Amino acid sequence: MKYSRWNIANFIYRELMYQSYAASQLTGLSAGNVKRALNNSIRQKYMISVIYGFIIVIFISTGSLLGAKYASVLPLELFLWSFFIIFASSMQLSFSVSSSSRLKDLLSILPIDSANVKTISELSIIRAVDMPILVPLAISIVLGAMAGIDRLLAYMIADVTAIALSLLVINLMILAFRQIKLGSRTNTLARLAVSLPIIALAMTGGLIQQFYALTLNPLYSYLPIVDLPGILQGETASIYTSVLYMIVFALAAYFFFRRAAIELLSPAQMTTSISNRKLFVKRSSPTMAVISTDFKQMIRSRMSGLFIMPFMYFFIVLISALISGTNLLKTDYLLFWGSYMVPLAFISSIIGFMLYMSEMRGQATYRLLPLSRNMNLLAKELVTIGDYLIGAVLMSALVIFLGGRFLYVLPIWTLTFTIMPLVAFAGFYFEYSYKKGGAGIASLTSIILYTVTTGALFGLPVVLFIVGYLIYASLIVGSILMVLASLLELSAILYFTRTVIGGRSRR
Amino acid sequence: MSISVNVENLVVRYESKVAVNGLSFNIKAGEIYGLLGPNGAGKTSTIKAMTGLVERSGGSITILGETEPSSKLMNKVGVVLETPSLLDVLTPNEFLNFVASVREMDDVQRVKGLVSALDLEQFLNVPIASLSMGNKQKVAVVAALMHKPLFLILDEPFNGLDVKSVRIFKDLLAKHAEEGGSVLFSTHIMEVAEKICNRIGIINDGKMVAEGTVSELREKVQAASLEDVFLKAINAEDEIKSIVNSL
Repeated sequence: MKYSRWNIANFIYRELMYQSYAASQLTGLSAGNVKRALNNSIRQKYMISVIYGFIIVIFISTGSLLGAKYASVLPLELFLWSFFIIFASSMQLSFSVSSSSRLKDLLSILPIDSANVKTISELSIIRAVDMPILVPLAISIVLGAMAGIDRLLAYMIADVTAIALSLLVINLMILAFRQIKLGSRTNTLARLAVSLPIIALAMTGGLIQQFYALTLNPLYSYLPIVDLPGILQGETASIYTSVLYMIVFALAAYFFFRRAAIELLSPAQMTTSISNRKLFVKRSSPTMAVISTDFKQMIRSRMSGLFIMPFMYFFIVLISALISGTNLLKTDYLLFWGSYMVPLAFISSIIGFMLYMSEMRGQATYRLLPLSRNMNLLAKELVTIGDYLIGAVLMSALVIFLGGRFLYVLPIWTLTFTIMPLVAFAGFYFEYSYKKGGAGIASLTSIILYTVTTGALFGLPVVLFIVGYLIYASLIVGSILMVLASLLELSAILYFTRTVIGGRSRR
Repeated sequence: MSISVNVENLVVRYESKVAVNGLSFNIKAGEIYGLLGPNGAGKTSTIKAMTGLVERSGGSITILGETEPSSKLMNKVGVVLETPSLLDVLTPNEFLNFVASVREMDDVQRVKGLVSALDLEQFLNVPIASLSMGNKQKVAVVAALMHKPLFLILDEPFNGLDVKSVRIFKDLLAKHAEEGGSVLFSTHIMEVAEKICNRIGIINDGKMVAEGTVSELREKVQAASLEDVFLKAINAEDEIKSIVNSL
């Protein structure tokens, strides 16, 4: 029976998808739930593509309505979103591929010649990122065609540049991570270095209009990416340079893609540095031990991308204030608070969820120890809130620095309370999942249910703050309402957990 | 001898699948009890139910007088699971400190002794993620034994361990039993079970199909080894013959 390259590539692709999903901390699925994890990973690829595709359509459509002035930055907007969608969906893949040697072992025992092995690996990687590439491309063609030939040209150049550049970066990451010792501190630092630009990039999408003034500078016609608005502004140089950069990026992406595909099938350099050390036993209180361990998990694992969010927000606000040349606070405090502090609090709350999920993936580490449910929750709350408070301190300082009233600091700090019910809800979900066999966030329904509930739990206190602020024109009243609602939610979740899971001393 | 562990009519269900179906056995103080069975027989589900990792659908479990896996009980129990359950981003040093702190241990010399006995010192400061399977298993063994538990639950505990470490671990188990501790030992390696277990329980499809000391079981089915006893108990002998003949 002759093998088909496509069929084997399909197996490798599925293995890649499974490994990348299992390597992420967005699931509590254990290695034993292969079928579910595999289905989820593939479903996740389609979901990310569709959601981001929808966002791109919204941004480009509404941007087009704003007139020719703003329409010229749309290729840049399209570039950012397209880049992000491919990058986001490929990032986990790069982690899993970089730590995988089993694929090589698998293919090495099969009678396949080296040329076919190479083709198979290339096909499998392409399949892993096919939808994130195709969706923005299709959108840019359709929206461009509807708006005229010049838009079509600009959108196509922007999108192909985004595809080429994102694939280039991803493949470089695959190559780089294989050179760094797995699990080492350097590897953690490398992950941080990777996370930073992605997050920064994701955030600049919202600020794109503020770059409009900058893009009018003719000098930018010669620089990659920022030359994209020039295409629709009639800059001839921009058209030539953007096409040139697109070709250069595409060639480089193709070259490194072929290199990475080969690397995919080679064993990773896994060496363990050894040193003779005595065990240093430094016993702390159980609660401190859990807090300290959760903190280490947060800064050393893939959660480090969330950990650095407060710093990222701080810099984004700072840069935004400097670029716009206006005082953000004087424009509208509520807009500042809603645009920066609310998302930061919500994103910080994900740390609690991920800490619980990493416990679930670890199967039983915590649960086989004499730890009470409340002690565990307390540790998760403190670590999660601690991360938000870094942002609160930085933003408070910025608010004062930008000339804001001292009272402006209050809603920033009281927003801390909105995180508490979210972490407690993650704890409930963790306990409930364990009770039902440890499946974690395992199905599309549970993902939707979890997201909707979390959104409602977070949204209610925030909305109450806004209502209180608008009706009474008082930050104090709004803050009190927000804190009370959060505490009420927290109490309800704790009661609910005790009722559903049981009130035993450990669980 | 007093009874340390009593499992009565245990039932574990995963949605529609019944993994453990009315299983009963007990383990006496000072006894090493071997739980044997083919893949999917329900051994790991039994262990998970005993440690509270999955909810039991029926029956009762009493361990050292406690009917629920409370914090108090988990401080008297040590567990090594089939796949080491560790925190990958920590180093063994950090992980063992974490476990010792949560267990509020005072006897740090015992931890140091176990680390030294299993030759783990050279790997103490590297992330657990980068350790080999065997070294990860050693870390799990130290974490399970450090607090001198009264009851040990071991699911394939020798996975990946080198010969010296296996020998040390086996001798530690024997010493633990001599001192009155109990052990539930699940394995696929019949020779090991034959040598170290006082009593054996063979399960198949979630039910107990044979139980007794090794000599009792051999005598009952007129078999020369525990392997033969096992294959007879799960009715696999004829199937094996027919498979081999067909190949």
